[in-house]
Amino acid sequence: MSVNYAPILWNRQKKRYDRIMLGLIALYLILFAAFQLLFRPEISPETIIIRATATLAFLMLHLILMIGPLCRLDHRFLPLLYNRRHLGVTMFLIALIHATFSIIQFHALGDVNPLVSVFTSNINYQSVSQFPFQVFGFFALLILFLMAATSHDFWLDNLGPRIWKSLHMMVYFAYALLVMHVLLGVLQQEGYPAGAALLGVGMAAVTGLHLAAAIKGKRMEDRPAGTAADGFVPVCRVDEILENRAKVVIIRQENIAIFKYDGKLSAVNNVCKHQNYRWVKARSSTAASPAPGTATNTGRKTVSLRPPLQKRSLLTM
Amino acid sequence: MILKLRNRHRYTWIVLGLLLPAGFALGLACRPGPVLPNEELIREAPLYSEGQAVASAMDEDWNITLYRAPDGQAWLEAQFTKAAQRPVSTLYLAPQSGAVPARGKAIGPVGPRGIYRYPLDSLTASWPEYYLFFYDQVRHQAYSETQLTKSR
Amino acid sequence: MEAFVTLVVNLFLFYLLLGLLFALVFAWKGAGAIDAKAIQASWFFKLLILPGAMALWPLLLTKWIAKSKRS
Repeated sequence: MSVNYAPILWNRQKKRYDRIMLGLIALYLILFAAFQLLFRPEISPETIIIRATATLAFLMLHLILMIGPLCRLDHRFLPLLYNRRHLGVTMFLIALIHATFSIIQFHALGDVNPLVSVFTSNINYQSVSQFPFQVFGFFALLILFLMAATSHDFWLDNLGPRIWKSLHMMVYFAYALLVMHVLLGVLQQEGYPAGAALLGVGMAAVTGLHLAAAIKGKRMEDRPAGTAADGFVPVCRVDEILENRAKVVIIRQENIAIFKYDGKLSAVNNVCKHQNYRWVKARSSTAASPAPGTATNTGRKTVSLRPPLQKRSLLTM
Repeated sequence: MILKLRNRHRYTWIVLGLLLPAGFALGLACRPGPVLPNEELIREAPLYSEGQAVASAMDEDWNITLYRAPDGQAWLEAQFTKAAQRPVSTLYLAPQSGAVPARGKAIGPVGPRGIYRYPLDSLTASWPEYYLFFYDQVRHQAYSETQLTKSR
Repeated sequence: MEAFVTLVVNLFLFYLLLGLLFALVFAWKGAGAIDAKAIQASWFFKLLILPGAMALWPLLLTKWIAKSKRS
């Protein structure tokens, strides 16, 4: 932990992540504008900006929401999680451009305050097909703003993990609002089924991945660990953990990572700071100790854990 | 994630997994049918050359004339001099004033700058009076109602 | 309807305006007062926490007051 907050903790990986992200964003915007100009040459620049930023931000939100469950399902996706924070803030900025241009183009021409006009220009609140979909977008943007504004570690430290995480879990609510924003907005005016089909695929992917990850997590929780002896629960054999790698186990429904490095084992709750981590105590013992499912006298050692403790524990094998 | 958070995620997605498809189905089911002629159809409408102007109206941003040809074909020619300030708008023609879409006829979408020809059926073309107005599809609001003045 | 929405929107804007005034003071003084790691932070860091302070100012104000009472 550094003594002072840095605005952004840059490192080589983060810079690479951001460069790839910005490159893909630029590519998307250029391709989108080119296709629009090709098929509808009469289109105005404002309309291109509104459409390009809308589709891009919504696409990015889908990616952002899929990264979490993908990583829980398969660890090869972890590099995507590494700088999800910058992805999220960038997505908010793009959504903000969409909102600003839309409000100027659709709501700033009358003598009513544009923000008031978002809520009152169409008051068919009892209708489905004519519902003022802009309202959904407004509240979703508000949530995304709060999340982007509190992305820095300063906020995690000073709001506390509970408030911070609750705030950031509101992204799911924002996603639901945005689905309705798209569904009752552009999809009501469009005659082609492609838009609805794309939205359906995106929704199914996000929901499906989250449910799949939830089922996988539940299965791991339900898998019984060995029986506890003097507070230590045997979880696996030492040779199941590769050198300089970690293995994730669940005991008493706590997610715990056991690391092996420099001939040492170390265990810690496998959660980030914003999720209230605690250290756990670990030890290794020869297989002769009570460890169901382990052959005796094979020379293999068993890793046992005793959660939770306040201090990290190291042990030699 | 710790257990409490995992459970919160789990319940959130069980609820969303039910609500999102329900909202999706409802939103699609309530879609209005295609009320507008396709933009492509308007573009490809034949160029009538021998029309006679029947009635017309003008505004700062547009100039709209109803034409009829000797063979009975009729069309509305619209010249938009400025890009539409409300881009997602529909042009309507009605036999009486009031600017009620249900009592009028949707002629076609309002395009950006340029000249557009919207085909009319002969029944519409023989109304005794013509009122045109625009309908903003985003705000669901009619605006700029004008009566077409008959040519002599 | 319109009068009600106008009132709510104006209250919202007023909240943000107060938030902006608070955030300016908070970024330069308050952040360091409630968190020692923010005392010597750069101007870019201060700029980064400005929007959040603007939105969550009642929460931060309580924390700031509580902290200054304790010390």
